[in-house]
Amino acid sequence: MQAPGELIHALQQGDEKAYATLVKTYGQMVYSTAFGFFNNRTDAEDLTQEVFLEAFHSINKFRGDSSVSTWLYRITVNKSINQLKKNKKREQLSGSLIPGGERTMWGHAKSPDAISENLERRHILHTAMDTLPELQKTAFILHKYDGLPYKEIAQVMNTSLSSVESLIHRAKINLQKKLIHYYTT
Amino acid sequence: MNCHFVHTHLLFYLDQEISPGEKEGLETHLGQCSSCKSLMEKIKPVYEQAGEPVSPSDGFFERLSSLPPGEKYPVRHSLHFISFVRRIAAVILFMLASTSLTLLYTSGQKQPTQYAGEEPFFERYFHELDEELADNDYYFLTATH
Ligand SMILES: [Zn+2]
Repeated sequence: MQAPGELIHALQQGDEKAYATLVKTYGQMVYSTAFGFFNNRTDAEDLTQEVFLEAFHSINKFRGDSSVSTWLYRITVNKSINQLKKNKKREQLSGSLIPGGERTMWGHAKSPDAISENLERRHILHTAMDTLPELQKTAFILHKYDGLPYKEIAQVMNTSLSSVESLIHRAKINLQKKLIHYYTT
Repeated sequence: MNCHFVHTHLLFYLDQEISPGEKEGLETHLGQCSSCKSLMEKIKPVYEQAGEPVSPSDGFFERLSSLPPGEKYPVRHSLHFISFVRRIAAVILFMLASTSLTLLYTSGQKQPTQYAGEEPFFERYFHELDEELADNDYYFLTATH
């Protein structure tokens, strides 16, 4: 495997093979993070494409102050949050027009259409995660979906270690409340 | 230990982030309280979905890496279209402006400086449009690379 520094240098030279290596090396990582935000394949794939495109276009701005993975995580998180905001705006505009009550908080989870038990469980978890404030959600995804150590999460989110600890702690408390509420009402 | 303790420590128990004493007490309570036991049985598999391996559709990464990177890359059609239209408009305006300036010079009736004020207007217009487009890609984290 190419060393990250060499890979970046090759990318900055416009080497298309290096682009393929970048995708091969970091594709799964970016995809998993995006999936954490969107909980569906189509959106996660679209976002992954956008992340690599942006990485490629802004490669000359990459000065190596952070690791390649931190840089890519940052692009992924920013793009995911922006996209979720756009989706939310669109949903707010069209929500009242969509029949079937799919917009109610747990609506879809309780529908009989769930393909499998795990799919339904994942939907329940994501519905609860969607209620988390952005920063809590981001820290939780990087921790749980990417298995990043707190120190690296702090680098990605440009914050302190204690902030990350607090964000994840609060995220769990909030998720716990939502899940208990779902199963006891 | 009581139901309240279970309700406030459930996920921390699943993540093994409570003390051995608390863990023991919680497990004893689960053995005695059917509602907490049932709640735990429901929430555990849901919470375990976080971080379960996920994979994209077959051949996704191959497609992603074999596509030629650059402007032809098939994403953000709308934004690319706007930027394309903007460029065309800029070219047309530039041609119009340069043609009229040339005409003014050759006719010698008016000094082109009188019209120089026009250019900043267009510049400002496109600058504002740029900002508007940039706003759409609002970044909440400061992007230090
Ligand atoms: Zn109980």
